[in-house]
Amino acid sequence: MKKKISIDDFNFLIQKLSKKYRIIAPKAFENEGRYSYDEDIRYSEINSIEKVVFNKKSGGSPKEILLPIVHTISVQVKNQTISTVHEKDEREVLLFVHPCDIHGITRIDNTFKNDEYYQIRRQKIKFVMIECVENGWDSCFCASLGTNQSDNYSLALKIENGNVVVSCKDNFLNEYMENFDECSDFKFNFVEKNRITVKVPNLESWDKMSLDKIKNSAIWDEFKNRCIGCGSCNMACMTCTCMNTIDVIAEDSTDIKIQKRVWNGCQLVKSKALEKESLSQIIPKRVVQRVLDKFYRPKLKESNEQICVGCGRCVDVCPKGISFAATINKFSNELEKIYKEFGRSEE
Amino acid sequence: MENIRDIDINKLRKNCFRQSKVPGEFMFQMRAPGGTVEAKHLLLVHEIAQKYGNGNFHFGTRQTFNVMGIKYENIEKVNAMVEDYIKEIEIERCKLDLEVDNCGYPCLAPRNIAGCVGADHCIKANAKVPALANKIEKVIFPSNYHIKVAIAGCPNDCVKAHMTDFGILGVTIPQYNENRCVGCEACLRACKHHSTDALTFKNGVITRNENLCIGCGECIEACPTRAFVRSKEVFYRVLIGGRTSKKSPRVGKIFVDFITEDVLLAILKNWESFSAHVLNGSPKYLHGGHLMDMAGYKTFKELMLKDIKLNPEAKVAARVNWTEMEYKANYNVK
Repeated sequence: MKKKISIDDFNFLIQKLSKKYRIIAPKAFENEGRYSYDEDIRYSEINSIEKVVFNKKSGGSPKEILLPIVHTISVQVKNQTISTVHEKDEREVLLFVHPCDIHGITRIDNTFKNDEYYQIRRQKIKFVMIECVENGWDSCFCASLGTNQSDNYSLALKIENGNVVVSCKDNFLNEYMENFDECSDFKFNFVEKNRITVKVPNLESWDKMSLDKIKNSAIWDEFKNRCIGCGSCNMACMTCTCMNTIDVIAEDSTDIKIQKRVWNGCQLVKSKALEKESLSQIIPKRVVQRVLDKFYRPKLKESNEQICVGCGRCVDVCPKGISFAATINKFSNELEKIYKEFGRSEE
Repeated sequence: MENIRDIDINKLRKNCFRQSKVPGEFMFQMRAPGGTVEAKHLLLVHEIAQKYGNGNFHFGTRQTFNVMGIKYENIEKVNAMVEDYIKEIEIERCKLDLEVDNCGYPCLAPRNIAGCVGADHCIKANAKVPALANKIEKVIFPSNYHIKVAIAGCPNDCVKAHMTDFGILGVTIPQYNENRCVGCEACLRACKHHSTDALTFKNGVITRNENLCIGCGECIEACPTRAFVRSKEVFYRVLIGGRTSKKSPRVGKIFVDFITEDVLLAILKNWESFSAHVLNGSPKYLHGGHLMDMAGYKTFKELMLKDIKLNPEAKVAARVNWTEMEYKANYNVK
């Protein structure tokens, strides 16, 4: 079902839908950027279509809807434990996402298939797929990783000539859609080609020898002076989902213990780590770890696909201008050299 | 008679032409509020220097365009050349209620407002410096009471606002959301390293000591998750009485802190009446800091804050104790 809806009608629809659905989309938070006067675009509930940011990429990924940055898992009072896994808000979620994010979420689904906290939230989500700008944004490399297209959505949506046009795959919206005009020529434009190309590491000839060799390669040394270990890349990443579980004892009563799960990241160098080693000693090891985490896991049968979806958010948020796309290419080229050295070149 | 060169250097100084070592030559100082103008104006500076100057250019220490070696005979021609520049900067940009003719600048006393590049470029800045300079220009210029103002986008004070009569620093009040905090302590390390060590970390949560925090924004820049963000409003710290001098240079001290832009502009509006009070209505070539000394801080505070409604976040110094470098011992004992 394809429909054309005026902005006013769509906003009215949002009001109606919001009784049953939380509508979550990339939204601009003015003055909340890293630098003064900058906005921060991140995922949050919206109450009108004008609030949705279509023309810019969000700094934060939609993962924080599934896995909040800090989430309380349980509260223990004396010996009784209260689970806080369920959400207070029981509404389902309409999540506005770009195709790469749909791939990203399905990739982390695998990691969290047995995680009750994640699953409760995940099952409530319906994807509203939104278009990207032509060829994606400067830092996007989805086409290189095959995440530029998706048919895994409930609703595809775009703004065209001042109207909202939608293509509805599920029937869940039928009752709301009856009065709107048909829009049979609706066409969703996927990104075909990005401004940058990334060479996906060839892991066919991968083994322990090449792993050891690449880990100790000199290509990682440059990051000693470039990366500051802030972890912004991990925080922004759609598929970085490392977390720490911490126990917090309430200040006013030792009887109350709160268990929280908090985001962590391989590039996030904490004060504790710096007590043992200097930043420049830590950084190269961490950078290798991230590249391997994104591209080596399929080989370990932890996943069927590359973990990186090429959304490029890590590139956008890096305060030191490091492009993960360039890092991947350096890694791939170095791998080829190693294969050649070991006589495993395909040429 | 007409060929006799009889130069009133006081009158020319007021017109922003500074006496040179070479008799009959002057250096012209063009105002550039906040040290920022459209680059096209450099062509005019170049043209004046080529046509009537000695071809050299100097960056004024208070960010004026200084054209050297202008002969007395050419001053009128130079003034005619800058008519459009003055109109564009002072009237169009700074919205001054000023009549501009071909006679050049009406006064020198409120010196050019110096400024760092500010938040139009700098990753550290909290305030948009040239935009604020434009607004302050409207408050202080023209006047015959001498005043030096400098604006820094953040407390790092690259423009050395600490050394001026009124040093203005852009600050923020960091807003912390513990639900976005991953406990990496990047803010804490940044604050400790660059600033005042105002943060502590306990039980997975950061606490900001408001008495130590100077509002620089290092914590916000360091945060990878937007747990720390800037306050919706930009605030200002005003340092007073800073100066360079032969006898007694000194670093300015805090007068008011965390005031809003409206309050800042309202306070600066009181500068002229304060000066008139101290000098009995007859302007002298005496800079702001000296007037503050003559009046004493108590009177200064009273007159500068007259009819001012401070914003709730604002703080005012109860006392100001400057530390002067006394090149002549006990020079104040007279």
